Amino acid sequence: MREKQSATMDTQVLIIGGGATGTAVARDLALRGVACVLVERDDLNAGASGRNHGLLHSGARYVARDADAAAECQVEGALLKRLAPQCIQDTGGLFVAVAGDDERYIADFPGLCAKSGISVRPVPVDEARELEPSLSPRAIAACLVPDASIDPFGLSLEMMAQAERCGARLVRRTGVVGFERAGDTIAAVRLRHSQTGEECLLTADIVVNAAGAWARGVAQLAGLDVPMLYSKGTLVVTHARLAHRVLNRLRPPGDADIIMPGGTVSIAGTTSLTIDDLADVRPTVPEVDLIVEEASALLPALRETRCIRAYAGVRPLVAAGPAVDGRGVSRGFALLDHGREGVANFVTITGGKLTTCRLMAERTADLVCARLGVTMPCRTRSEPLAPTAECEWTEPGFGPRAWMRAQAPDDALLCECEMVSRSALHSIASALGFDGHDGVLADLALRSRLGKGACQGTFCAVRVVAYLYEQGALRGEQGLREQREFFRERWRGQHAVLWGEQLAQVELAEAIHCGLHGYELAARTAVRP
Amino acid sequence: MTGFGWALTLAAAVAVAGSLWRAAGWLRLGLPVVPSSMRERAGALVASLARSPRRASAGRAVATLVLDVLAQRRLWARDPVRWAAHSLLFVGFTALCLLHAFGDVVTVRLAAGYMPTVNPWLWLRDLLGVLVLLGLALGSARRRAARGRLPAPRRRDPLFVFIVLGIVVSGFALGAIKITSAPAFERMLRDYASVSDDEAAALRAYWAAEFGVAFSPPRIAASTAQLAAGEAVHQAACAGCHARPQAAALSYSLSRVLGDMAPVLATWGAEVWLLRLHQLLCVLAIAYLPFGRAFHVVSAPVVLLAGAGTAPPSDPNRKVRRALALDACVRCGLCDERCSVAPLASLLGNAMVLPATKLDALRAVARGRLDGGPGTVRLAEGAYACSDCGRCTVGCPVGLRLDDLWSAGQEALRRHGEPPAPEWVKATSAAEWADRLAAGPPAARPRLLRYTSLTVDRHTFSPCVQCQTCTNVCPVVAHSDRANGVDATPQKVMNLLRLGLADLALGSRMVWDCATCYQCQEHCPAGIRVTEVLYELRNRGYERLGGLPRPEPAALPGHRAP
Amino acid sequence: MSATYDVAVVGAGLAGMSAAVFAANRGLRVVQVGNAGALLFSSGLFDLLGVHPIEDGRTWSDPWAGLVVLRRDIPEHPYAKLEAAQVRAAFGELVAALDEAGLAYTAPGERNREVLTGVGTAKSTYCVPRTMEPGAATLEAGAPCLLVDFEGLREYSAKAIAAGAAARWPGMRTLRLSFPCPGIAGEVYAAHIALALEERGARERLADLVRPHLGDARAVGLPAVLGIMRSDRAAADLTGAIGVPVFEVPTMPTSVPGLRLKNALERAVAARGVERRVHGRVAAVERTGDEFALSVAATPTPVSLHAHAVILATGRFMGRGLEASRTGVRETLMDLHVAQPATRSDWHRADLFDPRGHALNRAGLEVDDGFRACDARGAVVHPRLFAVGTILAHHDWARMKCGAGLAIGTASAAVAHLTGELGYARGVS
Repeated sequence: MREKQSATMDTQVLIIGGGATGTAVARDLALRGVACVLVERDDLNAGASGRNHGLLHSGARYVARDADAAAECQVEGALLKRLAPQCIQDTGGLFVAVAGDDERYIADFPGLCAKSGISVRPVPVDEARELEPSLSPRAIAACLVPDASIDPFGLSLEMMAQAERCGARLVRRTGVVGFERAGDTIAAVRLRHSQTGEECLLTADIVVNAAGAWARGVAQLAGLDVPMLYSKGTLVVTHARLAHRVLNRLRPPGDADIIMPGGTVSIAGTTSLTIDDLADVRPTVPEVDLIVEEASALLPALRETRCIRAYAGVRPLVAAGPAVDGRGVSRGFALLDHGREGVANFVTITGGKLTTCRLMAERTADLVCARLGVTMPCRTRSEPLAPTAECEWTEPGFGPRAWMRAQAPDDALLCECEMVSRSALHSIASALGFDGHDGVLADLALRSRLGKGACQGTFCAVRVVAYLYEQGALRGEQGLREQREFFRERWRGQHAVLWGEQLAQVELAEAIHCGLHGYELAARTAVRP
Repeated sequence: MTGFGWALTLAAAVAVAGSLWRAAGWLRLGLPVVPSSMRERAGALVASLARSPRRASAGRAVATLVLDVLAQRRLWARDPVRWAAHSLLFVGFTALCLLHAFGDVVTVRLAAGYMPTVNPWLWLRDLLGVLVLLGLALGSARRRAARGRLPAPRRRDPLFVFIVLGIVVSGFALGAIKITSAPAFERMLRDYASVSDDEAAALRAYWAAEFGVAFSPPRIAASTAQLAAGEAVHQAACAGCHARPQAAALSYSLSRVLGDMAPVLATWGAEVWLLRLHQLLCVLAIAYLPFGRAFHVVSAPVVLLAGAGTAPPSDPNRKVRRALALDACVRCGLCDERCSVAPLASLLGNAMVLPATKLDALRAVARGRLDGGPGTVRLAEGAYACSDCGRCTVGCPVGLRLDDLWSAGQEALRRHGEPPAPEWVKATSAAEWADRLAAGPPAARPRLLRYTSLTVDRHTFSPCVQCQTCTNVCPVVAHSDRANGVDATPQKVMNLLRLGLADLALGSRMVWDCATCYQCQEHCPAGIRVTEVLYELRNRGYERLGGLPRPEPAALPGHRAP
Repeated sequence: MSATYDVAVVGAGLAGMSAAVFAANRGLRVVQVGNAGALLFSSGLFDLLGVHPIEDGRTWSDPWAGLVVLRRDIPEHPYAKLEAAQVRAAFGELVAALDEAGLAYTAPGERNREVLTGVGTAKSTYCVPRTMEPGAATLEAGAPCLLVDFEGLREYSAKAIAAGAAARWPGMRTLRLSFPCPGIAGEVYAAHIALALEERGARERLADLVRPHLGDARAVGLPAVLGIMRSDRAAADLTGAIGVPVFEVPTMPTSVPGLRLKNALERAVAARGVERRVHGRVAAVERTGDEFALSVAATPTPVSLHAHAVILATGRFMGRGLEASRTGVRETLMDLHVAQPATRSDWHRADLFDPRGHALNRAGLEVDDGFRACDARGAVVHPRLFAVGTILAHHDWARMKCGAGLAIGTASAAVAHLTGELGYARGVS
């Protein structure tokens, strides 16, 4: 959907934030026939939705401390598995305890799961090891749970695509810079394009603040406050997949408890650091070391495995009272109707987790529709998430399978690591309606596996830029700028995992980028907002 | 004509007819290259035979006859112990045939005054028999010593050994019985000696004491005077036509062993029965000539002589040669011992890997008995395991062109819809194979554990920096036809492994076209064992894809509708 | 047990090969072990000094002048242990050896050259292969030029290069050719095109395709695919057939000039009687008495070599000379002391292109003025144990653009010192 910057836009509902929450709200409203516009300052899943485990919780992780959240996860997880199977790999999960873990917790665990309605099956350690041969030799207990792996990018892309097909609009690279009040309502919203600086005005009946970790900042623009806690979590991605199932540590939730199968890789994490500043959140060396050390208690192979990148996201947690640390705060979501605070048509939906995005959207849409007098009931409990052609490229392994099956004689692979073909990128670019703006590599990378493999863009960025020039989609020095920014962006994830084989990879990358191409010299003179 | 005469004639007829039928098979049967009719083949054969004397190969033919057929220098060069065993058998039995069996026809003409009971013929006959026994014993001992070292045993021909052994053993037994037989003595006395009763008595005493004839009742030991008288009679009446039985050393020793049994046996008419047995076995031997191992007596010399020609075989002649080779195999197993891929036979549990077993199977193929069942599959596996090293051909003492046989066999398999694995794998795309693997039964535990370490170990491919050097130095990719060439490059195969999509790689053309030139592995800056990964994928693919339904034969390259 | 070599060179990258050539030229008995590592990725260009100080991004058109300043500013840099005359002579010696082996370089002179790269930036370098020379000359003159690329050579786009370089080099036109070359699914590979262009007929066909589009171009630029074995002949042929100078543009890996360089160096060392055991990894280097014993893990049986001296030219992380765990960097063969930042958090900066460069790049082995490896206290580990090339500490070759100079210069100096030491050792043993 092309984003059009007109001087004024008008719609029924403005949704601020293009993460899983925002796109789910857009879909829910659109399915009910409500006209909505979603504005996103960057691109879809720019916040926590694009920096999480990708775990479709069975809920078992929360049975001890937050039984309600656990039950919620169980119900929503099952729903999503049924309605959005194209985004989900139903791998199943294992909770495993190793020597030294809390024996009481191990004993109580099955019962607690049952209380929250989560189907759990304790298995002998031998059986667990047969299912997962890389399991630690020091494992002492194991339980099977219905965890699954979900592709958060595919999810948001598909939800937005379906919403757009039902009339919603997506406006990317556009942030909210101010609200114009008229008494106790918001009359108009001032938007600004983050690259061009162009401003425009949008009028809407209702404004939904789904900006995730930035919700507080948005609310403050409207003269409101949403007390939030920011909890930073880092995750580490391995070069190749280590285990088939989701592996959880069978102990009270702590750091580095989870090793996810991320399709073709494994993702280990996470950490929980309370932070104040949302700017430049990136994985740090101590966090990565902590994750590798702790998680390797479950899978010793993690210590010897090449890690290709790490990423860090910020969990938006609704602070309810003096919470001591991020984990103590409820993962439950909060739907705040700011009418009580003097702004009648402003609603904030925040907190929560990926697994419950549909539920969060349902509650939000119910509230919004009640305000608007729309009587159409929620359809997302039964309406499947319709698969969209250009949204399938984010699924790990999909690209190579499609390419080898098609055997098209002229369809070159532009990303070798993840085997993304030219035709795949072409279909994504066409759907985006590419018009030569900066950030095209990032756009393509978000919607595919480009740059997520072993070389982290070193080779594929060059190929894609070459292709784009051939298509006439890039001009002048754009290509150089695109590559520089792309490499810089990938570097954020590289910085903390540079040892062993990945360090050799990066040595090669720097030899090419700097030694041969001299990007660091041009960077000095580059102008990029 | 006597019964024996009839039997002999009948046996000879069988032998001649059978041999002719086998020889006709050389013209009728065969392994494919191009089809040709019997008439074509016969014509080509006659033409080449007519040509050869003019090509001054007459001398060579004679040399071949003497050195290869008679002296068997090829066998001597390859295995002296076997040569010794075979020569003992060969010389002993052939000489026995000529000098003893056909003595009345052959030897009588060669040597004046031939009589089977005089020397040298008497001891020679025994000696020849001993040679045959020695040969058999040596062969048996060699086989026992080599047990465990040799590959799985090929089809034996026990009947052949039984006949030969039976003839010789019954011959010795006959000799022993005759020596001790009192009725035989009386018969000889009646027929050939005109002596008085006293002289007969003295002769009896002499023969009992000196030569061990077992009279019944046994005679009391005679006096010296009687013995002297007997000797005189013996010299006058017997010695001229009868050498001392001791000359037949083994028979005589055997007769001593009989001891008290001798008169009993004589009463039972053992001599007659043994003679019948001996004659029966000889008749069987003749009739058996065209069958089993016995036929090598005809076919091996033909092959050796045919191989002596210098003219390169035309296609029809090549077919004759092949059919001939199938017949002329003497099942010595020297090819098995030299086969460079022989260990695969036990590793795969498939004896078809071994040349001798393969040759037996090819006989059935030549008779059109490729049925596509499990037997055909095993033959295909064995046929394509062949590394074309040629050691079997070099090692064959009969000079069979085994390499030519194997390529004909592969061609026959191909035409039947059983091409080598790289061809039937490539007939289906990699993605389709992956689909079939996904739909098929869960992967069985791999049979060959040693081949599954590289591709399942993440550390094999984790150092890859995606530099594409492997692909750039690969000659297979360099010469790949865009339309029909490889569907993946070495780098892509490595990435498929990394992405956990090994199933997609198993059926890919890159894996099956890899020439194992090792350029990729030797150039890889990260030290990744690229070639070995590709080859391990091929082994895994062979195991796993081989368990799936094959493509239809018609879809396979090289297939001709039968 | 074979006789003892004078020197064992561990590593077959640019530094190792240079050391082997220099040592053999001086009559030493040399054995070389180890593999080529990152040599294959070489663009073919030899850098001496391009940028100093890297924090300021100051580029030098006169590298020798830059060297003087660098030696003063960074006294621990390996260049500070080298004399300019020595470096000049070393370059000359290596270029001569390469020329003999069939790979010609333009004679290095006083100034750096500017060369167009495969993405459209301009790179400053010291010594240019003959096949790339016309490119440098035409760029310096700013003359119009035709850039040719090949359909399916995915990393190389003439349009991209022309667009990226337009500010600096206007008047570039582009031409995309579909070169009849085997490949797979819309991809062609540089080395295969190069292989095809070894054949005269293919070169003529290529010239026929290019000539009609020449226009006013005074040179034709191609990706670096002009042959593998005899690139000079291929380039000369094409120049003659097209009518204007043809030049190669250096590419990213897989770099055909890198392959050429590796092959030529292998020919050069082989021609000098250097014994090579390159298909096995050196498992260990031990000191036995006054000698070194190297065990090479080679199939079917490990090999044991003895030498009076060892030159370590094993490279950095790519070459496996250095190895980094999460807690530190170690030298892989003999666990020599590695100067390095205190913790991994200090290894790299937050911005990939931070002008100060990454601290880890300056980690490495420390050596004395004779390029003998030193321990943490600065004492020489062994009088005949040398270290050369990128494994050394206190340089950032990718930022300073000094990789080749480092390799060649330090190799030459080490061999010179080694020859002196060896005289003594030989006299003794």
